[in-house]
Amino acid sequence: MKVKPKIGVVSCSGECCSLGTVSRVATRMVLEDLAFGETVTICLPLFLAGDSGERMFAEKFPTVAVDGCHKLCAKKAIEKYSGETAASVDVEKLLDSWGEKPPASRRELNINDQAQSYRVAREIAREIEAVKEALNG
Amino acid sequence: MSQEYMEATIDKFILRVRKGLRYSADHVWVKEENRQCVVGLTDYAQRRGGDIVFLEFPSADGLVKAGEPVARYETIKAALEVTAPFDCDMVDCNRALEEMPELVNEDPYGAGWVARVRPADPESVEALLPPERYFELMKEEAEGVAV
Amino acid sequence: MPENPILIIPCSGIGKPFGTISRDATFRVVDELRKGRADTNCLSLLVMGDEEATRQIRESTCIAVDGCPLACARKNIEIAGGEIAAYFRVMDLLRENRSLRPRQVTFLDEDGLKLAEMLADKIASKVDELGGGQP
Repeated sequence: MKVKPKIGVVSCSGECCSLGTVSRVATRMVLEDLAFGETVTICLPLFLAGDSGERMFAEKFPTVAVDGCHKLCAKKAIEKYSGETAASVDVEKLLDSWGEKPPASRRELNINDQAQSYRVAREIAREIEAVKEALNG
Repeated sequence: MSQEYMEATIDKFILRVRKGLRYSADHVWVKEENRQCVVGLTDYAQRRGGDIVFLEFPSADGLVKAGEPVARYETIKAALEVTAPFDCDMVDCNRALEEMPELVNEDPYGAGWVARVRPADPESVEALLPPERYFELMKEEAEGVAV
Repeated sequence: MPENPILIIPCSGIGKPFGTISRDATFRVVDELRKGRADTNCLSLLVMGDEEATRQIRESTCIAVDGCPLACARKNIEIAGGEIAAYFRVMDLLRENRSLRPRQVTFLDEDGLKLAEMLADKIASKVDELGGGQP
């Protein structure tokens, strides 16, 4: 655990469709690779259940919401319980803009789906960079 | 900062050190009760180790030397030990932890107590770290700075 | 919609392998083992008060699948007004299978997949016991 302030990333849980899986996997790719050491995942179920650590972090530090679809659960949850998000990614919109379809399976991602998730992860990482730049003035 | 605890916030985690106890450098807390001591894992130790899935007691009685385990526990990350902070005799152990090891994670200073021991040398408790010193040690370790 | 619909809600916690296992097991049941007889929905939709999700949870028999003792699925279903007919916890299954050590969170490793498969079988049996999808 490092002390320098990090950026929180909260991903939707998205069981209803594969976009939730992409959202989750992309967020993990950011945490483990693209922004390793710079981000903290806010567990959305824990956040919704009222865990004070998750909500307190989102109140104090900038948070990026990653949502699978237009319902924007993660973004709305943060806004309801902690405050404005610093940035927001809508995976459904992103895939639409690329002319891509979501994965066929919500459980297993094939190699193309994983590549797609990585592409989404890079977008999330870009948003995180923008938040960092804004913070550093 | 509450009356009962010193608190440090690292990322989204609030790490608590209970006042009025003594601590070993191995992240074991000690509470003196008459001539016996109750021991357990600190909040930092349980957080760092992760969810405890199994916990067992090597022995319910007998002598345990400083650094030897009073309990062994497993998380999905590792097999770990709650080590005796000083030479002591085992008096009792918290058998509830064999069925519900998560009590250590949920309430490390309360229901998650691990064992009751009798120090071989009554002076050994005073030799342990006071809460303020342990708090600094914990923060340095948690923040990744060399002690 | 079948009679007596069963709704399986996993915790899907993103920080630990347990969350991925709960999610994987749920999908195995609703998409494969008991397809058409059980369903799932987003935990966050339920809590955020989505009308359709709220109606679904009140009209269904709920099974909560949690990863760890923090019990987010159970707590959130209760917050959303659902009643839990059955409850599973990944950590309990891990205690029954001591040799397994799931470590990966993003994509399950071999031990994680084994646990998910075992859990899915248990949930599927419970769906049968609760009369899921039966007329």
